[in-house]
Amino acid sequence: MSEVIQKLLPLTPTVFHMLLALADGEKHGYGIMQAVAEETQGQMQIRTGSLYGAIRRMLEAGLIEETNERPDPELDDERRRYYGLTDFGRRVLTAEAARIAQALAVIQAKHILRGV
Amino acid sequence: MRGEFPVAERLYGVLLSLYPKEFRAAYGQAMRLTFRDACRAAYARNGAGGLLALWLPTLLDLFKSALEERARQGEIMLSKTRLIALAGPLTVGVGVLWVTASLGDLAFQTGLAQDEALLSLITLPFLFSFVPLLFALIGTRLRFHQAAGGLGRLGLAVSLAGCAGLIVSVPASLLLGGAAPEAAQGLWLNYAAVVCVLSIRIGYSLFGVDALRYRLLPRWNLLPLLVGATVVLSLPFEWFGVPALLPLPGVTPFLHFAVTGAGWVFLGIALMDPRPGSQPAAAL
Repeated sequence: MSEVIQKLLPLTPTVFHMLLALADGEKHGYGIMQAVAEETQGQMQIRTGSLYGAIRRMLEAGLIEETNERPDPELDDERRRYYGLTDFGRRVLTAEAARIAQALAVIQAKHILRGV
Repeated sequence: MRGEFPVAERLYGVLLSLYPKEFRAAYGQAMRLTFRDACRAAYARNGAGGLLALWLPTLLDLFKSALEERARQGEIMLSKTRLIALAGPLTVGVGVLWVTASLGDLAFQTGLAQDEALLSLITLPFLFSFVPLLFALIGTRLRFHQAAGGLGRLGLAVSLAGCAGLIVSVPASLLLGGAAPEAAQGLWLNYAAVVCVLSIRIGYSLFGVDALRYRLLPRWNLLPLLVGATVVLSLPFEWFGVPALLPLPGVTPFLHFAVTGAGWVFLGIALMDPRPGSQPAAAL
C-alpha cells in the first residue's frame, strides 16, 4: 500500500491543502474553500471550478468520499454535499506531511529562514 | 442588504453549461451553491466592489476548468502542446478576420457598398474573432508563462479575461440589461464590450513590454505592443477636444481594424516559429 501512496507524492498544493482542510472534519465545498484560504493566510484561494475539478479527481483516487451528512434544512441548504477524508486519504496526507516535515528539517538545519 | 444574488447566480448557472454534461450533472448544483456562498461572503466584506472582484478570477477559473474537464472526457483533444501550437495559426486567423472587417467597413464608409445587410456581414467576422482569440491567448499564455516576467503574465491574464468577458458579455448584458431601466438596457452591452476590448489591448501592451524586455518571441518583438497600442485609433478624440487624426470620416476606424488585424497576422506568423526567443540572462 505504501508504494501506492508514494506514487501519489508529492501532492499538488491544491490537493494537499484540501486534504488538510478536511483533516479536522467533514466540510461542504465552500467550507473547504474557506478553510484553505484561512489556513494559508489567504495565499491560496481555490475558485469554484478548480475546487470541484479537484473534488472529482480526489473522489476518483479514493482520497475523499461524499458523506451522508446533510444540514438541518432550517439552518442551511439541504442540497449541500459534504466531503470527508477516507482512511486512504488520511494516510496519503500523513505521508505528504512527513515529506514536508523532512524538507523543513533540512531548511532549519541550513538556516534558510534566518532573517525572514 | 439581501443575501440573494439571483442575476449573478443565474448567469453563473448559464456559464456552467460550458462544462461537460456529466460533470454538470454531478457537480452543477453544488457549484451553484458554493458560488452563491462566495457571492454572499464577497458582498459582506466589500459590498458591490467585492462582488465585481469575485467575478474576474471566477470567470478565468471557470473557463480553465471547463476546458480541462472537456479535454479530460476526450470531447476536446487539447493538450498543452497542441494549444501552444495552435496559438500562431489562430492569431493569424483573427488578424485575417479583422482585416476583412476593415475592408468591409471601408467599403461601407466610402459609399462603395450601401447595403445595411453588409454592415451586419462586417460585424459578424469581427464578433466571431474573439472565440479563436481566446484559444490563441490561452496558447500564448501557456508558451510564455515561464519566460515572461510578472508584467507579461499579468498582461496575458488581463487579455484573456477581457476576451472571455467579451464572449460572455452578450448573455450577461441580456441578463443584467433585463434588470436595468428600459432606457439603459442597450447600454449594458456597450459598456461591457468597451471594458473587455480595452482589457484585451491593455493586456497585449503589458505583454508587449515584457516581449521587448526579454525578447520572448523568436522575432518581431514589437508586435504585441503594436497590437495593444492601436487601440488609440479607436478612441473618440473629439471627446478630449482633439481633432480627429485623419480628416476623412470613417478612415480612423478602418485604420484601427486594418492595422490591428495586420499586427495579429504578423504576430501569428512569429508565434508559428517554435524556436524560443533569444532569452537574455536577465530574464532568468
